[in-house]
Amino acid sequence: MGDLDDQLRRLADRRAARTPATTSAGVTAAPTGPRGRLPVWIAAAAVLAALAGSAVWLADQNDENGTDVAATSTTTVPSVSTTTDPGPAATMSVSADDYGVRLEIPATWSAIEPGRTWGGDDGFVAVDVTPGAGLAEAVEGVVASGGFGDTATVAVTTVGGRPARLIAGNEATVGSELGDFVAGGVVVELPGPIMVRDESWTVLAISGDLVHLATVLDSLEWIDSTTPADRPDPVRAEIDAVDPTVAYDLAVGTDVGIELRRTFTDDVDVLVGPATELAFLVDGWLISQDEPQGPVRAGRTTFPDELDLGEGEIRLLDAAIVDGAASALVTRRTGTTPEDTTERLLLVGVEDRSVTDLGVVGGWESGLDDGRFADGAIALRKSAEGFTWIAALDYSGTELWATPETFDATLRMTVLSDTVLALNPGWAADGAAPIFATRRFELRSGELMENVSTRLTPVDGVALDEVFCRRLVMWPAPSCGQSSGPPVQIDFYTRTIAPLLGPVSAGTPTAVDATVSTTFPPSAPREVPG
Amino acid sequence: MQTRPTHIDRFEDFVREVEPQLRRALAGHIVEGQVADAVAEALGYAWEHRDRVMEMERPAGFLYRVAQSRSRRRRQGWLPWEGEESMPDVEPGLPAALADLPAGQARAVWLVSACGWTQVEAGEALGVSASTISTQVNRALIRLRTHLGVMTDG
Repeated sequence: MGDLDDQLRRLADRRAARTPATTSAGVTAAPTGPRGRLPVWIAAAAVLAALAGSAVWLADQNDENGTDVAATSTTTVPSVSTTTDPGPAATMSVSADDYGVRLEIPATWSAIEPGRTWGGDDGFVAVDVTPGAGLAEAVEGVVASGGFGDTATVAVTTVGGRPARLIAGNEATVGSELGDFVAGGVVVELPGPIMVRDESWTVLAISGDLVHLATVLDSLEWIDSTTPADRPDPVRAEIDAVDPTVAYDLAVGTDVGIELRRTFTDDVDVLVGPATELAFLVDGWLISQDEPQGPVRAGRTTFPDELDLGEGEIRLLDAAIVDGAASALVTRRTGTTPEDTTERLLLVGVEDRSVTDLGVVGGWESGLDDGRFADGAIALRKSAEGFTWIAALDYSGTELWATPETFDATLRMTVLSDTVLALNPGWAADGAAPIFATRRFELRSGELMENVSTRLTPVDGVALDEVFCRRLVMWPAPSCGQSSGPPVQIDFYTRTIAPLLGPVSAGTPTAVDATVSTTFPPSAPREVPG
Repeated sequence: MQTRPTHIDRFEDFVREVEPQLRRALAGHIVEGQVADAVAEALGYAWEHRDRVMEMERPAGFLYRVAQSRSRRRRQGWLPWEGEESMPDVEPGLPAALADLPAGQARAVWLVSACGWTQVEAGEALGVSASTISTQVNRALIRLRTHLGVMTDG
């Protein structure tokens, strides 16, 4: 560390030496020049640029009289107030209790919608939750909702210490129903899910006029009750039946049955039963498979019943809502010799117990490593003789496409909206840092949309060799299996790895249905259009 | 004989102390030709509010924020300076590695590791807690090492 510090100090020495010193005479003698007025959109653009550049502590663009500030020069002694100037109290604190945030807004504003929207003659701020399983989805939703022009840009930032995305439109003026303001918005990942309008949400959307938005965001504080540190101790209880009125966020297969977790409170109900390899919670249905390669089960309240899927080696791959019904994707492998071994892909309706054969997907030295329901299709990770590739099927079993190239066995796959991500983990700088080579394919066509290497920064306390595999990104440790450690979540946008479940109090989370690159609530039902 | 007002002398002393700190700190993330402007604007603000600013426990951090705010209006960012930094005693890849850091980490590591500010001072300057600064500096150093191919140096 010392050597790098020395390098940094030398760099600072050199840069400081290259800039002329400013004397007090140069300051005190400087004349005060006329201050012009910028069009609102220029000030807004400056705020956007600043927000996109870093985070959230920014100068207010207005002086106390609401006059826009012109760019100053060396010869202009600044005289307008900024957020760095406490000055006379011009703000007031308001709380959006339902959303768990506290903000400082101009004292002249009043509540438009108590607890969520405030505004005045010169601006507004509005707080709301927004759909989306993570920031990426939330951004897509917000942009799709319109009002940002046809080439909205998204910048990574933080708000209140949480990962956030700034959405900036390409039009000078973005309409606001709250007045004639230039508006912008950010989506922020909540410290934990919150219940609003009887639904669980993980992403907050804050919009406002661009003149005030940065300053308001700068002041954002999470109300204590929403911060993990102030949560009550999580409750762990064994149950015999699921209470249908309880909204769970996550199902986890463990060696004592199925854990049902509420990720906001960390409370855990354990539906006691056989050791479970994999469990999904889909539209109130529990779909699971015993360990190892045991029966696939489905049920609604008590421990799921075994499904009759015929003779052979059955493997549960995924579960989701397909054509409005909870469904499971499984493989059935039969045979004992190279000549008679066959692996077939089955689509199982767990409500009517229907089984649709989607065809042969493997043989003696080939088969499916993974399969996921995606947006109207099924993404597959296939392998044969040591090579791995990605393919997609429609619901009739017809192959839509397959990657022309093959990869090594460390390749992992996940789905994100209507794209398929192929992830090839590796190491940068001789093992100093983990990276993922990420290819993103359009689900229906197989078109390669993105091909990037992402370097990740692990958070404190998470060792990469403890990363859990299965439906999270599998780390390429040779021993990486289904019980090698607690699961983590890898966020490609913030480039962080974070524990997903916290400490495992009992049992082993053998698998969770989580995806990388989003904060997707694991096992949350995913609507898959037919 | 006319003597200079005391408050001007005091302010000159103040500038002599604070200006180098400020210039060094701003040299981390403002394009070379505009550091002087930013420093001057911050000191101009300090002069105008001298009674308050000069009484501050850590005025450099406060004025750093003032300068930051002013410079942002001109859409500046963290830019690698070209030129002498590629000389042998400074790792040639360091400016680019700094430029590749997230803004928060870049500012934190610059203030703490390059400028020698304490984590508390940097936290005040950047508007975050000292513990956040600590985390950002650690992460930044990890990234820099990775970027520069430094396996470990203790």
